[in-house]
Amino acid sequence: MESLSIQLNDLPNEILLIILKKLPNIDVLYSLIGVNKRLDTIVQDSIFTRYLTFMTSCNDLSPIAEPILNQFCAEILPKIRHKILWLNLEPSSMDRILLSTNYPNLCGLALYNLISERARELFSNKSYLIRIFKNQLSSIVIHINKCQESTSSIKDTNIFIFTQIFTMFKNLQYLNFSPFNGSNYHRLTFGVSPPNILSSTLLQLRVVIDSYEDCLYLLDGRFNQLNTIYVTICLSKVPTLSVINNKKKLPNLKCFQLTHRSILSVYNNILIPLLHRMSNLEELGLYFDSFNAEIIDGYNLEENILNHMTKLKNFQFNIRSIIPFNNQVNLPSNNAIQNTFKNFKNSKIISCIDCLPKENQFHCHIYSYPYELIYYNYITNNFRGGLFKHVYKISLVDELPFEHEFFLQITKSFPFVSELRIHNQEPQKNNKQQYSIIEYPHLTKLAIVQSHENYLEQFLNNSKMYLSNNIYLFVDYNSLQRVTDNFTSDTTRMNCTKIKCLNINIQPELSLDLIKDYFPHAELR
Amino acid sequence: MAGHKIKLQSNDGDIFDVEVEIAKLSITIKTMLEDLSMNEEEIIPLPNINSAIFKKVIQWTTHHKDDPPLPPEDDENREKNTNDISSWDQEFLKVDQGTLFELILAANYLDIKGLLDVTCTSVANMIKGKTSEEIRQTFNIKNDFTPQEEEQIKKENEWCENK
Repeated sequence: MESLSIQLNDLPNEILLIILKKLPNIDVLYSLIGVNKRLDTIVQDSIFTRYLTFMTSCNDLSPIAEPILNQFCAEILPKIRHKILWLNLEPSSMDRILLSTNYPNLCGLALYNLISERARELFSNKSYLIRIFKNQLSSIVIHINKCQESTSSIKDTNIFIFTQIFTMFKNLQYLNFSPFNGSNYHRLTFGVSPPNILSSTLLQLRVVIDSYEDCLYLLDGRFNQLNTIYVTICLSKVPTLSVINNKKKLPNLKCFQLTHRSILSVYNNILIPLLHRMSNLEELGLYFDSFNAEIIDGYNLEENILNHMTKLKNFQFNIRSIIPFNNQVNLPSNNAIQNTFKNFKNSKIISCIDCLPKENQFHCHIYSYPYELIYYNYITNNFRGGLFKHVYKISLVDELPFEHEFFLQITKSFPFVSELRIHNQEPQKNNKQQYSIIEYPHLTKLAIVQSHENYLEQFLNNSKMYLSNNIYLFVDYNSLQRVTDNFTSDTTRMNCTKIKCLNINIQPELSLDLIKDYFPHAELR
Repeated sequence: MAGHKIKLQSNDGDIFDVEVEIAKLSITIKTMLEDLSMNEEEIIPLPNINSAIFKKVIQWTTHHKDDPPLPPEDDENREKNTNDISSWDQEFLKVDQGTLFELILAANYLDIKGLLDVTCTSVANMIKGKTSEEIRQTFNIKNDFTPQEEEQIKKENEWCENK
């Protein structure tokens, strides 16, 4: 007898689509293709077939289960091959997927988790990847995260791959050479005799490069249709005069995002002239710490940048000016800095100033809010609060002590922080008082170096801090020894059992047995 | 102190007194009250929901009345996470398939995004990882492809591959 209650197949298409959109497309296809005519039609819609990720997730990058892969290669891919526009692949299944059928409409390919040598092989002249796809791919994402040979060969390999991509893929419009910004395996440097790369099809580029010379090389007009570029510069190296002299305008560039991993020392003489070449820019993102004789405030940004970009619609920034004290007689107040943004009517700008006399530094930090970055460095007691949902990596630095309320504020403002670094040599004033327990629920990496022991105690004492399991702890051995009362204290024992990895720069004279006993689950380094 | 209540009637005739703030989690009811200027004495009919399902809906909305609004949907390429059902909701959703699907239809009709979201996620979890044959068994679905049609699809695939 037929059941009277409602069943999955009775739900209207609109509801089925809501359910199926909650699953990754390969799960939808694996489970529902061929179940019956109706579901077969629904799941072959382009919503589920155009964009396929053959990994457990784009964060995890692990391969999918073998039986599922087998089913795809044998039956599903041949059935939907002409509907597939984009594939996200990892190394162990990439060859089988790419060779199991042909993909006449595939235009985008993302290759994740590659070893440098394997990547080189894939982009060599005789590779099947080049042979089959060179005329059809318009988008390529390449993620290299390992290298078997010496690290010095990585840059050569990267240049080889970068050059091959432009030589072979004649219709390339989008290239992402650094999908995860934190990795060092993508760094490109073009050196004194750069390759002769040209493209009149490339529209968007994302790269991590060594220096401004590399940036100026990429923006010397060789990509004449380029409209979007995301650049991360790693070194502070100052370019040579011949490179700087390039003044060619970049009229097609609509979006420029620049991130500096090291201190920027060429704001006035290199960065500003470079920005003046981009007069049609509509979106701009600037993220750097600048060591300069002057403070970069609202007036400075207006005069040097905004007044030259009449088409700019979106300007995001996170800029810290670091000034030596001895260069400044009258340091501005935070109110004075905030007032310089009075003409930034459509954006919320936050400013924060810090005096660090022992470092002989004055910091002026300005940023657009909401804050979209994944990191927030140099947080001091002057932190202005707010909610930073995207940030997972922070550093707390000050020459005044961090008290309990400060750590409470940090956990509220950065609810998803997983990596935390503390540098503060001042002792806490109220560390003996009883307070509520603070929790950093997502914390996995904690570094407390060159800091007063109070801060290590703050995090290891389980009546002050609740730590989740699997913490990587980087700490000075002597501080650790004192805070744990030579690895015997009961107040810090519970949190120490939650440490997965302990980095204390192991020396031969250390009493390893005591440490191992106190940190039973920790790998020692 | 309890808030003002309104009367809602299920399709099998039962009348429920529900706090206005809880009832307004349903955008459909909220619209009826605000746009159609229905007063609090009128009985609002809910022709698509029976009393058993409506009791479950009230139970869910009462528990979730103070939840913050859900964020807007991201684009299609976002990471899809089907593991984020709270323990209370997991317990709430321990019902037979028929009830679960009726809850989905009710949440859709009443326009209660949170309930629709969690019930659909629950069904998505039931689908995840199953083969097509397991899906047919789990959800009592008949394979309506004829052997000839299946053979035809197979041949087409082979033809495409050899092309």
